[in-house]
Amino acid sequence: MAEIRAVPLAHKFPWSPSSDVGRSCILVSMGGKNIMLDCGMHMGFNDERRFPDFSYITDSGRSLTEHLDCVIISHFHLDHCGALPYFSEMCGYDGPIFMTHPTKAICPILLEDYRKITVDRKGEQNFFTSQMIKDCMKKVVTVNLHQAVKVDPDLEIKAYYAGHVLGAAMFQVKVHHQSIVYTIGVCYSRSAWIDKCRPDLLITESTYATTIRDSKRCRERDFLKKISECMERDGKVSKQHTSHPCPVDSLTASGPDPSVCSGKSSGAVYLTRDILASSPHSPHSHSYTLHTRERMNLLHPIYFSAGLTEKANHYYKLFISWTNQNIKNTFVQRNMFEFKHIKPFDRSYIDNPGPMVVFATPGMLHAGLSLQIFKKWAEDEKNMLIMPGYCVAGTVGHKILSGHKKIEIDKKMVTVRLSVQYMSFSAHADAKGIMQLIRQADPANVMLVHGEAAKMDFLRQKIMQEFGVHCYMPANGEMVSIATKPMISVDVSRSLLKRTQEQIHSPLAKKLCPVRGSATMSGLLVMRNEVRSLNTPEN
Amino acid sequence: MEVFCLGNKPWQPCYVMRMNHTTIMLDCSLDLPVLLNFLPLPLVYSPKLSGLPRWQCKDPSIAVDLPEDIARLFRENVGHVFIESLPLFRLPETGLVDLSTVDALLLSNCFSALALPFLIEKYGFSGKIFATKPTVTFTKQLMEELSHYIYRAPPTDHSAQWKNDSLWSSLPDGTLKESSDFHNWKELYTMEGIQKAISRIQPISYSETIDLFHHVKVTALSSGFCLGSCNWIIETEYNKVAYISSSSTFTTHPCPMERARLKSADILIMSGLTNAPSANPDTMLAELCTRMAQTLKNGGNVLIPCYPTGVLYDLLECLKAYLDSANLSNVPVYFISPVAKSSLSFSNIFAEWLCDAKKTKVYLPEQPFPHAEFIKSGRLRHFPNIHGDLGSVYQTPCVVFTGHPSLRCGDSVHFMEAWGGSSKNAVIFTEPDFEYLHALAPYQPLHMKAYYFPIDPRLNFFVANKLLNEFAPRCLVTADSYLPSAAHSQKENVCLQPEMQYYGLTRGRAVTIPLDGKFQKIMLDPELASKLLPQEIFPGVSVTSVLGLLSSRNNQHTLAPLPPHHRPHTVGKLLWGELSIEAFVQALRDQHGIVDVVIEGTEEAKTLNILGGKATVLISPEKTTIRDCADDKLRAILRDLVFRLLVQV
Repeated sequence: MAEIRAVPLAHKFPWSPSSDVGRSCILVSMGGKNIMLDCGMHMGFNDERRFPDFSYITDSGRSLTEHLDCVIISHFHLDHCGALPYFSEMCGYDGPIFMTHPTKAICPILLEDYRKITVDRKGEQNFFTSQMIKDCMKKVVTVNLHQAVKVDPDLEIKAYYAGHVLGAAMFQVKVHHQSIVYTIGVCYSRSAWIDKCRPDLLITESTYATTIRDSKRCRERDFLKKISECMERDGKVSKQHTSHPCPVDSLTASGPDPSVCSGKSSGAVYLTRDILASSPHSPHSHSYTLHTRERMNLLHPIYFSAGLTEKANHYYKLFISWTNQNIKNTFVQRNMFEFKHIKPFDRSYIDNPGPMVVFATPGMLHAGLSLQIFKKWAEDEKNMLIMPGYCVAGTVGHKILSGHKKIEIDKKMVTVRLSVQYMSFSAHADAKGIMQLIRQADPANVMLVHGEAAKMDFLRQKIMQEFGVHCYMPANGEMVSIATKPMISVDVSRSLLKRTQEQIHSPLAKKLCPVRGSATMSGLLVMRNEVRSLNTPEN
Repeated sequence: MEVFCLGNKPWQPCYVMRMNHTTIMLDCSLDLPVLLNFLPLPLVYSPKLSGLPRWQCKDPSIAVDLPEDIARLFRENVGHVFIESLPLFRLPETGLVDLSTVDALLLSNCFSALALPFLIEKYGFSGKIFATKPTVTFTKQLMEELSHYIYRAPPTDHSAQWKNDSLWSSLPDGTLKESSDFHNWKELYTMEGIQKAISRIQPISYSETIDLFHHVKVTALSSGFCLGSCNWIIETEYNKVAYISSSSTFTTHPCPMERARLKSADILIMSGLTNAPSANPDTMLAELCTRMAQTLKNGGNVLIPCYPTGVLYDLLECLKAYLDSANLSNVPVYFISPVAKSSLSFSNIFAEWLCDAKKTKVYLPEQPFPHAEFIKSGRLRHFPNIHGDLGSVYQTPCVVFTGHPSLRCGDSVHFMEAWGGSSKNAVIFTEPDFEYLHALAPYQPLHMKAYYFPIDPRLNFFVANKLLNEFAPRCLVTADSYLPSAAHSQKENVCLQPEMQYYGLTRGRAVTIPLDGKFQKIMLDPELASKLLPQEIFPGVSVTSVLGLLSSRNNQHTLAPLPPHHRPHTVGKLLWGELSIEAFVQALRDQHGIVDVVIEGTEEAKTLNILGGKATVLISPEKTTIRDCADDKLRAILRDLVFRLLVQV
């Protein structure tokens, strides 16, 4: 019997916590092929632990390139692709890396941004260089949705639309008759769709394993309300310096995207909906936004952290075919990603008087502009911070969300007085989405990754109960092994097949065979140089 | 396998193929050059066009019988006769195959899909339709533009009284007279029909494998002709058919042609070669630029009648660079079409379907086509029509791109009339599908200069022959007119020179090509397979008998272990091998002294007549039968001999 093995790679040091959301990097072996799914970086660590432990592979004595047939990247969040330049340029992987076009476009920018923060600003050593990012990207092969890519004659991969962030994809990997589906970052919506492909194993994320989140629209309305309330309060009470840093995820849902929003609220609405919400799926946004614009006549500035986010916005325009149908249909008349009321933010604006809304990255407040603004604004209770999504343990964002009132940033204690709101715009799959996906793909086994142990366990029980399939949730470094029974393909002579099929429909069918709709077939199997054929038992 | 040819011309492909219980239609082009036989449709009353002389029937015997109001519908100018009526369109052949039985339609590019709404509205087409995403988008734009052009003018005489046989036969020789099927010409679809048709298309990617009823698999491969254009592979487990439609090996804006997977097909269907085989697109483009600059420098305007997509993007790109270098950067360029804006916008969001150079631009991120920049700088302006905002910015001299390239409808009609009187102006034809002198005929006499620089990136015969050798199919199906004939001088740049078996087709004809269909795939249950113990009878050949439960679902067959306690009636030893007739005859002679053996029959099945009719042995690849043998002893001899020559398992 054949088997499929899957291991989420551990952190670089064995004492690091084993199963947390930190990042994705899974090694799969099937039918003699080795595939690495994602190559993420842990944003909560500032040392080598942020990278996966590739010695798991190299310990076997083979180089990474020899051992791995391909690497597949699901989307551009750094916890899924952040270790890629390290892996390919510093560890020496030289084989193919597959990702979608938007991912290939955006991921080097995020990598470079992160490198700048880490190396140029924090002065860390032993990190990849700009040139390494470029060289790494040269090894990338892009795939289109639904394109069946033959990595080699036996290994085939196929991408499906996932709707999590721009360019996010689920991947089906097939070796002969064995197959797996990898669905990290699936925002299960109308457009995220997969065939009933009956994989042997379905690997899915479970970040929001127990949540069944409100509709996106509700969330967005809430968000706007919070901003406008805060603004109004400021306006009445005092016209003093008030600001609202909203580290909203513009590029990345769980990842690093801060944004500052300012200007007219309508613009902010757009931003939050379409860019910050980061999922390319925002139906109804058009009408809703216009409506809000009338209702909330706010004249305070809305800023968008310049550079990175602006660039990101540009990508959304160019890859508009990857967004939802609604946005696509109207883009000729009005491009959703052109924001009239949003101005680019400059660091010098931090101390400007008067209320403002700022969208700044990164979303986990672990570095960069969002952290800088937070340090300045944290101690004034009139200010508000809106956290857009999940924060990895170890980041400032995680501490804030856990309710810490005193946080050490750059060896200085900061007292958190501003109000903190959590609002998930991130389009990770929630429990309902995962269940729907499993129903659709109909796998024989399920493996949960990228979640917190307790929540994952709850979901695991639910999956086993509802679908009666095995469900695994391995810790990092722990291997899951699944026995598969691949069917064997044989040539059958048409005359034998036809004659046997005739039995099924003959009046004597019941007599000839006890199973309805079937017939007994008797033939001769001939195996000649790997060619198998089933012939008629005549002569 | 059968292939039916329904298309009018090889560059207006429409084929139907039947293979493994599946009927597949390949493209469905509309015959657009038929438009040339109609009088142009001006937006407003045109004294010149309406004042063209009426055609006088030269045959007195018919002329007498003709009611005045029918003859009135024909006008004549410079030797061409035009019908003064709403243009009708010629569909692919509809009588050859029942179109409602077609299972799937594969569309190769936006130019070869324009008959689709007719199939759905008038012929009950109910199959699946597949096309790449850009093809869906641009097909819709082409249909909308055409429909808009045809129906925007005030309704003219809709009656089809001109469909008169005797009248037709008296027409002067020319393209009009040759179209004997004018009775079947149809009125164009409306926006509603377009919407209905487009919504039926299932968008796909290159290299996406689509399974049709588990009978055949189809895959689209980039063809390099225009955005989203493709060739198709149609395969079963045992056979492969490649369909090459409009393709290009030139480096222009689309993804390059994918060649590897087109190799070694059983059957290659080739259509859509260039319509201007003697014109090199690069040379033509250079000439176009020179003439254009000359005209502009003399203060004249340039009209380029074109389709709203395709080569246009290359033209715009080239034009921008040329105008800059020729010091003409102040000359405005206007692109006028109801779909101008969406064509330009959509072209910039299909990065995945572009050539590498353009793809990389998106990563920067920049717009892949320079026309975005061209528009931003205000030098390229696009308008849905001539009566709106164009007037407020219009300045001459200028370059105008507009449809329709046939000069029979759309805004090109207006510009021909407005600019035709001045010898300073020029019209430059780039579409080779319309014969330009015929296109110009209703506007004669013209003072404006007319140039014909066909820019057709499709394969020419020289390249097509090279590709044929590269792909090496077992046999070739193509248009009759592409094949060597007495008319061609057998040179490799004027026709195809296939070195394999080939079939030529024209509209309304069909061929049947035998394909090997001996086997089908069946899936062996692993549990059943694990219990089989094959024995090796020759080195490398192992044999075993298999008994299992067959079930067939959705045309997929599986063989599972028999249910417990179920024993079928006949379980005996099985024979295997190929009965060699020579060995059989020799053994009869050597061992039994029987020499009177007469061998008859075909290659497939042989009949051995033994001892003048005492026994007959029928030998076919499937079975061997002993017949008409009253002598039990002889029967036993024959039977034992058969047993000995075969392997018993």
